[in-house]
Amino acid sequence: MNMAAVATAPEALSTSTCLHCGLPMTPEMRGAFCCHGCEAVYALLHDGELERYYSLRRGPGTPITDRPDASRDLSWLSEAYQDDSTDTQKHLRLDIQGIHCSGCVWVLDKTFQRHPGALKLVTNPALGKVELWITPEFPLQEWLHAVERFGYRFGPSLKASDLGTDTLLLRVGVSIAIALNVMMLSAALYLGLNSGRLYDVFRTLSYALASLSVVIGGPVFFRSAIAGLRSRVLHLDVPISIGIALAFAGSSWAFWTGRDSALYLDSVSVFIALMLLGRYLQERVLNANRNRLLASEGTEGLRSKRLVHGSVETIRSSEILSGCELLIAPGDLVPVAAKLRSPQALVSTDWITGESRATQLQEGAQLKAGSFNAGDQSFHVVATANFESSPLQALLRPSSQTGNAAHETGLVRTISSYYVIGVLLAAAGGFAAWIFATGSAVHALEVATAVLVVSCPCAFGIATPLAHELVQARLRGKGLYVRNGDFLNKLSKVRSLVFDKTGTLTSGQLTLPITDAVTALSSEERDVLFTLATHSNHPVSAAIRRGLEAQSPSLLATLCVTEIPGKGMECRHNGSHYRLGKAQWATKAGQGTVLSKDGRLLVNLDTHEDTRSDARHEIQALSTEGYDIFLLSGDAPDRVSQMADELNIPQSRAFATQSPTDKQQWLAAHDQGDMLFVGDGINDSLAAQTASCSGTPALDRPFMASNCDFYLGTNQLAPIRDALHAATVLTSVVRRNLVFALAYNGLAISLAWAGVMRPWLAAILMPSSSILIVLATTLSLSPRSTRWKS
Amino acid sequence: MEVIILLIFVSLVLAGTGVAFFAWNLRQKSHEHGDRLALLPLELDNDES
Repeated sequence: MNMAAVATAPEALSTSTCLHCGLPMTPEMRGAFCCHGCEAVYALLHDGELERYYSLRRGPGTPITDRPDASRDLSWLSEAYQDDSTDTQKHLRLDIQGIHCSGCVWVLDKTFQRHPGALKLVTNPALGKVELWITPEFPLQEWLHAVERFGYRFGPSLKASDLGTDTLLLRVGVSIAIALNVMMLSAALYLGLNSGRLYDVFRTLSYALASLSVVIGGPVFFRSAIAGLRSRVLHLDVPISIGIALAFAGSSWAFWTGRDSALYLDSVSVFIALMLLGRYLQERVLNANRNRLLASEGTEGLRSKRLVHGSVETIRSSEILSGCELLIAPGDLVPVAAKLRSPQALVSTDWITGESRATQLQEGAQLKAGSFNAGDQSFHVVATANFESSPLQALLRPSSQTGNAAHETGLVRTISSYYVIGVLLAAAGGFAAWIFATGSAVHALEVATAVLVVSCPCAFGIATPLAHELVQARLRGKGLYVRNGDFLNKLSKVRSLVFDKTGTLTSGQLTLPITDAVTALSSEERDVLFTLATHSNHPVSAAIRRGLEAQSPSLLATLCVTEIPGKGMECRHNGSHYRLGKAQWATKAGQGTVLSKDGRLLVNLDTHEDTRSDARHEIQALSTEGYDIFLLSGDAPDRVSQMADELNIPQSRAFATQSPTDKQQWLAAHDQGDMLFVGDGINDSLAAQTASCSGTPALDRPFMASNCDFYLGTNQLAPIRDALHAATVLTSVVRRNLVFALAYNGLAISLAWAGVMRPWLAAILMPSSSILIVLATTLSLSPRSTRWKS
Repeated sequence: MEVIILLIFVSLVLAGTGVAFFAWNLRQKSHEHGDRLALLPLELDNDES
């Protein structure tokens, strides 16, 4: 770590926030950073003279949840070249994850321009895409790895090349322009222009512009409403469409019959513009959140190394057939059930079973599909099944539950259905009452038109999307990204939280507690221990190495270390024989991992899984707030029981050795629409699809985030409790807005029924109510609002 | 009177031009990478220094 760099830390950030990402630090976090990832990236940015990132970034950044991995597989890169690439100029399109602000764009541009052969780079943070033009001399892989070390991740270009909201934005822009112009023209009519050629021009122009507004803005709602009615769903677009259609029809009748007392052209235009704005807010926010992550390719994204006549070729895993010989490099996935051909292999199945410890296997052993090479040596396997029968197929299948917009379900849908019927009844009632009282169909039609125009579904057309956007923005600031528009509605009903263990409540890493026995080692013994641990890639050795780093040990470069497979490491130093490994091997007695000197026990090195820094505090707080907490893990019973004890989760609610289908069945049996599941592994994907709500802290596994309602961009669990709280606040604000809407509509419809509603009065009432409800929503959900503190 | 008609015509042309420019800008998709475009003046600063 560059200490000079720490001294130049951005002044704007207080000591209680992480120096890199700027998010608040919990008391459990020591030092100046919330995680190792942030610390490493902070040093990289300073060493690379890229400190300007911090001044260009607006607000807090994103924590680097994992220590950046510079050796990630980029075998998909050959597919990223575009057709217009030539021998002298290459054009590539890639997806990127983790980019969110000007600072990110600047870092990418700066690092890109530093290499020879860099022609042009266009970064699109909204879409999460980069496009680059380079010459053959540009060191592409080197640049990609360098950028990934800052915490970004590249992937094949799978996301749509636009947000799908451009047409909508165009409609919004044009509708707002029309509404403003019609309002200006109408103002002249309201202020006394009621005859003459100019009056005719203004009137005709208003009608033409309002018609254009209906043609441009109407289809957005009409199409959706018709689709909803076909599937017998009365959602929000139905009242909006009926409102637009009938108000315009009434105004058209008034225009052609010369009855200006029923001419509501400005109200129609303003209404369309406001509703379109609400829709744009809704769609853009969700799309932007989804595009922050790489898209999931499902099983198509998996690639494997096949051995053919002694050479290695990279293929899609879906092409693997039984009998294929595969090379599994360190960190690679075993995509199908296979038999080990190499003498030994260290594999981890935490991704698929939740079992946290790596296992040493010998030649001939069977490997499960989904196992990872956790060692530092490649090994060979022979597939014993076709990929078609691999359980990964089901686990990586993309979910169909994503993409719901906030207005499609919940309280708003119920109110929408009643709203449609209520407004139609009010218009019909007004028409019937006036024709009965006056016998004039013209007057009765004026009243009915007034009812249809002034009744405004602004509360759920614009105020509800705005409330969702404000809450989601707040949660984004805390590191929780909502992918599904209906998530906050569902979350308000949650009473139970179900957590996976490995990688969710734990960080997925082992840690070595620095006990008195460790600190009592002589400096020579500590240096030997550090050197032995450094020579092995075993997870326990890595934990020992990380644990000792704080004591500044020296690496004995000349030490001759021998690894005894399945047992440990040994060496001779200054006439003594040291062993680090299994106690039975190192000291002929005891259990666990030890360091011995000439067969004598020096120190026990018991590692444990590192729980997330705030896991204990958050589980305790959630329990205190009345939520039921459950633990569903694929790990062994003793470790699950230990974790439950550590986090104060009752043993009766901690379930071990749960397979993916066990978890799914448990949730199907217990979830009454009130459970939130949080998991990270492939073994959690079925459970995530089954639960009412689901989330994941696994940003490096796009398939998982794509199956969940939200993902966490931080190492902490605190944003989950924030989201539960936010959902409650949101529900109360939406309810209050609905009460306000009811009161406004009651008043406006009463005025229309009384026959006193005039176009000028509607032109004041309707926009005023919309502005009022938008202001009230904004103030209620602003960061300073007392609602958040209650 | 004719002047007002002329003014209306001119204002409609201006409004139409504005909408056309807005649509053209959307087609350029520059609003989607505004963060990058906002940095271009900084690049000029660096070139001059």
